Amino acid sequence: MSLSNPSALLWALVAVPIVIFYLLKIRLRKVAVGTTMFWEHVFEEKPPRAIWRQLRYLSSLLVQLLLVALLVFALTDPVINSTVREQQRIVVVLDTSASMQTTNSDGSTFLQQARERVEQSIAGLRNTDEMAVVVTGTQAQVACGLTSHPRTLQSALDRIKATDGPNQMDDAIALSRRLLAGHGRGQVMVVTDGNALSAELSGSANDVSVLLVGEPRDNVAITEFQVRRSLVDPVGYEILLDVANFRNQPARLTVDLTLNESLLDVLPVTLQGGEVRREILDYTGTAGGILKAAIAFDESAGADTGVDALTVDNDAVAVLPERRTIPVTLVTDGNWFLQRALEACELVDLTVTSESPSAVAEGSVLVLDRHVPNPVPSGHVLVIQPDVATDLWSLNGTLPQPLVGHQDEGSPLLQHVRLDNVLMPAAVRLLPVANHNVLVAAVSEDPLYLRFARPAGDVLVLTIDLSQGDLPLRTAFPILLTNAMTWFSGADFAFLRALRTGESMTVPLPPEWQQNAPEAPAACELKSPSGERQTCAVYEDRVTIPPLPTAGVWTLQPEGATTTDQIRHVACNVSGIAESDLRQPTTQSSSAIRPTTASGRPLWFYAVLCAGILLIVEWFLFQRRWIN
Amino acid sequence: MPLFDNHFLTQLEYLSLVSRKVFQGQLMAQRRTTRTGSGIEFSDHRQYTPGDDFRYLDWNLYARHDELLLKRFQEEEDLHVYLLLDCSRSMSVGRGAKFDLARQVAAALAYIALSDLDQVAIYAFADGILHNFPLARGKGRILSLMEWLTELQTGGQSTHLKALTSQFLQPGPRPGLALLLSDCFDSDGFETGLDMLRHHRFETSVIQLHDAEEANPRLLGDVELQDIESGISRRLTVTEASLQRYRESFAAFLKSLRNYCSSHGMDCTISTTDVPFDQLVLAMMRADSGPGVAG
Repeated sequence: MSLSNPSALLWALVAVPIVIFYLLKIRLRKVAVGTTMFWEHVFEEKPPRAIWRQLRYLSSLLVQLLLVALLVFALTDPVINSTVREQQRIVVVLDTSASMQTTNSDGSTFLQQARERVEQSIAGLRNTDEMAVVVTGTQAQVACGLTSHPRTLQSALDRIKATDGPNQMDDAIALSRRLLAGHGRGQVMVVTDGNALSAELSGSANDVSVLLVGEPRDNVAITEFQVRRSLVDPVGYEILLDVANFRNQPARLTVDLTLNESLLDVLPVTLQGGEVRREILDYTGTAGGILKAAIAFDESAGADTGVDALTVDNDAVAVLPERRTIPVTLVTDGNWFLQRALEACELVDLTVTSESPSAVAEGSVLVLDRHVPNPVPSGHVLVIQPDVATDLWSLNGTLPQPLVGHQDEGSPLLQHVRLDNVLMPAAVRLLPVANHNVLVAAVSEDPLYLRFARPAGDVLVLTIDLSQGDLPLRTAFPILLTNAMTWFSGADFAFLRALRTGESMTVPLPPEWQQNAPEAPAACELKSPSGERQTCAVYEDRVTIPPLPTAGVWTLQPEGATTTDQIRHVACNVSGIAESDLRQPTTQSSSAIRPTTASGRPLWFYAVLCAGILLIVEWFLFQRRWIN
Repeated sequence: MPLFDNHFLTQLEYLSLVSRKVFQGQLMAQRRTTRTGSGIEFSDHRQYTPGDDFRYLDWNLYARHDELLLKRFQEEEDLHVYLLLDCSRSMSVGRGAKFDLARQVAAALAYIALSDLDQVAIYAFADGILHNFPLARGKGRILSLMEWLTELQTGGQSTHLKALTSQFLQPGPRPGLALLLSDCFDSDGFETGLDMLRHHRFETSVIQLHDAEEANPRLLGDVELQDIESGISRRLTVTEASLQRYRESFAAFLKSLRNYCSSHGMDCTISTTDVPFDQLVLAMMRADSGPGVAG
């Protein structure tokens, strides 16, 4: 046994005044009375036992000294050496993924059941044991560091909530092992419903034990939901919908599709046991907004009920971009390919002229074929093969036979466009003099397609001579123009696909965020469906959306924005099959953790307990109630 | 504070007037004894006890009811009043309040008797007679009597009533009124001493004084009780239960004293020291026709 606080032994000096007071006390108080004959009558009836009367003073002193000894012993916080050697460090990995929201047949959720199991483990901790809690929902993170204080653990446990995210069990195990690094008797206790367990856990590593909670349940879920504008129909859009039946019996249900809360379609779906149905649906419309799919069990329509134990995956959302017609003014002496390509784009309301306007109206685009005024008019401008130097560039002759050496694959301006095999006999050699971004460059690093970012409006410049090459004959040409029109309309960000919970993504900033500001915002603010806010990092005109823990429609806007017109929606859905399949897990609980009992209290606790008992005994001794 | 101040003397005069009103119309001396004697006026009956004079038995009643009852006559004579004042150390308990009250009561009774032309003597006793104030008559002796009482101190050994009465009766004093002022804490019992007075035809009154602390002590825990008279110490652990038994024992003692006096036709006044002497004397006079209790 060793003492954690040996300096507390000094408290033993308290025994000195106790002995002094005892010696003073045994000198009895003398009371003069007129006669003792009445007292003699009293004690003749019940004479006190003489032996005990002799001993009771001494026993009282001994009890008091023992009381002090026990209290001093408790203050020194003694620890049994063997207990120190057997000290346990346990990291509880608590699964907070979406599947833990599943309800059992008794109405409790898997997470509540898991929390009760962890509480039992906390109650069984010995005083020298330490425990930490790591959660695995969406992101593995430490909810409570190693501590032996049960209330701290309980408080951390109470704060844990289920997420809609996936199970990051491997990350959580790795994090737990880092917490236990250097401790020989460290153990990881995974409390999970068994969904998406890694092979390592299924094999039951020596330092990891798995405690399964929950029961096999039936579930029907939307496992995929995406929407995009059609590549062939500018006003059309396509919906990708996966509905899965995670039960052994068939399921009949309906999927309600709504756009901005207006019913779009109702799909009756009949799924066989274990079937995953994929539907690709085409719709037409220029309106954009929040597209929502919801599973409904309508008994009147013959749908099954009582087959769904997890509700969070019954809904899915996606953001449908709005299609807007763009007024485009083409200034040309006659470029049939260019005019026809623009006319073919259904988003474009084309006006052809030979005189360049001095300014471009807001929301419209000016396309200049060769003839470019100096300075370039303010507003969105697309320049094809410039023939004069302007305030943004100067010219340095012709670039013969340019070969594409570099193409910005990530730019939405070049989405679905490949210029590698395009024959380009000539191009203008352009020397940018203003802030620019090269999108396509020749091998000689001369820009072939570049963007000038201006506060007054972006300027895109294509230096290729359209009259000599085969670019106008390629499908890439109308797509290139459509991308440019879309870029000017600011609709590219709207093509952001629906994320899965726990998934991060880096996307370009919406163009209008940059068009109306001299610089891109330093950070963005992301707001959850429940109103919680967090900051997203912006780097080189791109914003990184972190792993989202909650399914629903999130909003993104520049940090510090005061208006709502810059808000962009981000759709997020439950991570997929791994969280929605609630059938029998493939692993069984293991018992690697030695069960602890409530008897593991510290020695000082027992010392204080004994002192309390002695205090009661001494109180009785002092009062002498039992003598008579 | 002096034992007998002017206020005390004023109260004495008041008590004397009250006593005259109560005992108006007496022959010779103005105090009429209640003991059987040569008087002719029948007073009452009382139970016969061994030692009583057979001549005063009411044979008619015995013949009718088969009960021995003694006829009592009021004796008309010049009364001798003997004040037997306990001066044992037990009277000094309670910072002397008991002894002070006893002396004040003694002075008051002596004043009343002297005012009624009775003869008064005081005997201070403990385990025997320590001092005595010889028979005196007339109010003019009251000052010397009070002076004598003032100088009186507690002393001697423990209270011993039998020794007191033996010494008191040895010279053969003329029977009269014997007033015992004592706490009666006689370890041998108070009965023997009182019996001897009764057998010598003394009309006896007992005035038992005790401190309230003696009746209801507030002791708890380990104490060493020291008998102030005998000097014997006793170590006790006093509990609530033992205190309760003490109270019961003390109450039984007072009850036995009262019963004894009642059964033998004695006046008995029991009082604590917190009762003023004048109230105590008035209570005695109101209970003159029979045993009384004050306090």
